[in-house]
Order: sequence, then C-alpha cells, then structure tokens
Amino acid sequence: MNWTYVLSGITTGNAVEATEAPASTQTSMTSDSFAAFYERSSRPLWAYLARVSGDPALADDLMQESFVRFLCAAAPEDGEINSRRYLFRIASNLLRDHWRRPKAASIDDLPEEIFSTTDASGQFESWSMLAPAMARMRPRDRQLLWLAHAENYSHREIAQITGLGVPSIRLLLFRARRKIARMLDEQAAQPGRPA
Amino acid sequence: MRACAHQPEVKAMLLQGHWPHACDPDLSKHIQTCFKCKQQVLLATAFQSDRARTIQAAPIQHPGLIWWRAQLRRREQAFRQVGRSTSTAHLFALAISVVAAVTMFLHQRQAGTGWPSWLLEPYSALQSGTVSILTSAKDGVATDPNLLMLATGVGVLLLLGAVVVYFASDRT
Repeated sequence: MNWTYVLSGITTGNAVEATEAPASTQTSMTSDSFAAFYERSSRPLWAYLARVSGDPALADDLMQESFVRFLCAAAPEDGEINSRRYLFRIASNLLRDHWRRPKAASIDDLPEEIFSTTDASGQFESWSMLAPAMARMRPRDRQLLWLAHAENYSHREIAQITGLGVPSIRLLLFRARRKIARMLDEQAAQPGRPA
Repeated sequence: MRACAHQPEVKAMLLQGHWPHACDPDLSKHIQTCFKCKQQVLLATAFQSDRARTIQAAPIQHPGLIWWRAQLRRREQAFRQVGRSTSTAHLFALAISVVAAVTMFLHQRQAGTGWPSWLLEPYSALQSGTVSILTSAKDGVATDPNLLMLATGVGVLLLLGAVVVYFASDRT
C-alpha cells in the first residue's frame, strides 16, 4: 500500500480515490456526472424497490443506501448500462438483506402471507392495476417479473442482478408469469375494477 | 415451457412501443389466438404502464446529499483501513520485540554468563534482608562487565516494548 498516497487522500478529503484507485467509481465519476446518472437512474430504481417491497418508505431508504454503496464501491467502468445494472444488483442485495433480517430462515421457506404488503400510502397503490396482484406474489417472483417486464432485462442480466442461475430464472419466471397473468385476468373479470 | 415462435417478434414490437395501434395486423391476429403471446402482451402492458406511473410518483432527493453521504462514508472507511494497518504494524513490532528478548535470554543462558541467576539475586537478597538491591546489582556488574551491556539491551527492549504496547492499545 502506498501510504503517502493514502494519507494525502485522507487529508484532502479524497480518501477513497486513493485507496481504491484505479477501479473505483470515484476515479471516473465526478459530482456532476453522478448527478446526471442519479437523475436518470434514481426513479427506475425507486420504482423497482417500491414495487418489489411494496413499501415506499423502505424504497426511499434502500435507494439512498444503494447509491451511497455504489459510490463507495469499485463499480464497473464500461458504460452507464453496466453501472445501472450494478446499482440494481446492490439494491437487490439490500432488499434480500431486509427480508432476511426479521427471520433467520431462508426467504424461500417463509409463507407467502408474510410478504403480503400492506401499504400505508393508499395514494401510491390506488391507481395501480398491478399492485394487488404483485402484493400476492412471493418477493422473488415480484423481483423477477419487474426486472423482466418493467425493466426489460434479459435472463442473463437478471442472473447478474439477482445472483441466480439462468435456468432457475427461466423456470421461476415461467411460473411467476403464469401466476400473475391468472391474477390479472381474475382482477379484470371482477366488476368495478380497472381493466 | 415451450415458447411460441412469434414471441421474439412480439417482444420486439412491445419494446418499440408499437402495441396496440402500430402493430402489424397479422401479428395482432396471432396475439389474439396465441395464449403465450397474449400473456406476454398483457404482462408487458401492465408492467410498463405501472412503471411509468410509479416513476412519476418517485420522491427523489437532491443528488448532492447522496454524494455528501458517500464522501463521509468513504472517508470513514479510509480511516478505518489506515487504523487497521497501523494496529497490525504495532502488533508485529511487539511480536518481534518479544522474540528478540526471548532469543537473547536463551542465548545468554546457553553461553553460561550466569546473568539469569544474577537477575534473581536482588530478589533473594530482599528475602534474606542482608544485602540491598543496588549492592547486589553493583557486585554482579563488577564480576562480569558483559552484564552491563546485557542489562542495557534488555532495558531498551523493555522500553520499546512498552512504547509499542502503548500505541497498540491507543484507540483514540
């Protein structure tokens, strides 16, 4: 380790540039470029977190934490698409940590009722046709469906974000798609529901 | 899980935003009859419209705040990393000092200078109450001049060891 480089970085307030150079995001991302990246990525990321968690307040917290970790970590340098995918990966890990925190067991072992979202802000859900169906899905299914159909990520990209294997994603997505399509059909058939 | 042959075409059409008005009539007819493609269109339209609305509802903070928080965390991480390295160096120095002291002690003992017994002399003298510590040490040095050098070396080592322990335990 180059001590003078590290120490000079600390004294000038640019410690991470020193310690994590040259792989850090900070070496290539200035405050202005980050602001532009944030402007383009924050809303889709918030939408992902809010829809998958079903909790807008949690989405706020996790989004901020995702961006902070993104800035502190050594992120891929080759373009905004990779950076955004990396950001979604951080957010997915934070979500997984959040789901795991209350119970020691794997999230796959927990009953679906636990994950049924009760959103405090009625306004957030009132216009959404998808929200009731999403709330009845397992968190992982919500995650996969959102990444595949809202963000239009390929199976390979979803694998990179979630850490699952491509064959598993194909199978899980197939089942989740079938399930939510059935729910949406039922919902559309009910009187007084938006089609 | 068998996919329809038209699914890539349907996906491309959806990505381009051609559904429903700019969709090819033949493809549109196929979608009405194919369960898989119909499901794909249903999900894509539901998710895309939900995404568009959710994005509009997103409460976004100023990026400067996030940037500032990241700066603080990075600085904290860097300090922690430097502190960890310094502590490791202190412990390493302490270990080296101890090893050097033990090696010297064993070497002198094997060389037969007899100073280990001299070190115990003041203690025996105190116990017997007949000879003072200073007199005992003075006598020991007078009988063997090498002991003076040895005692100085041990003293320096102990002093260095104490300094190392002080810095290693100083967390502030």
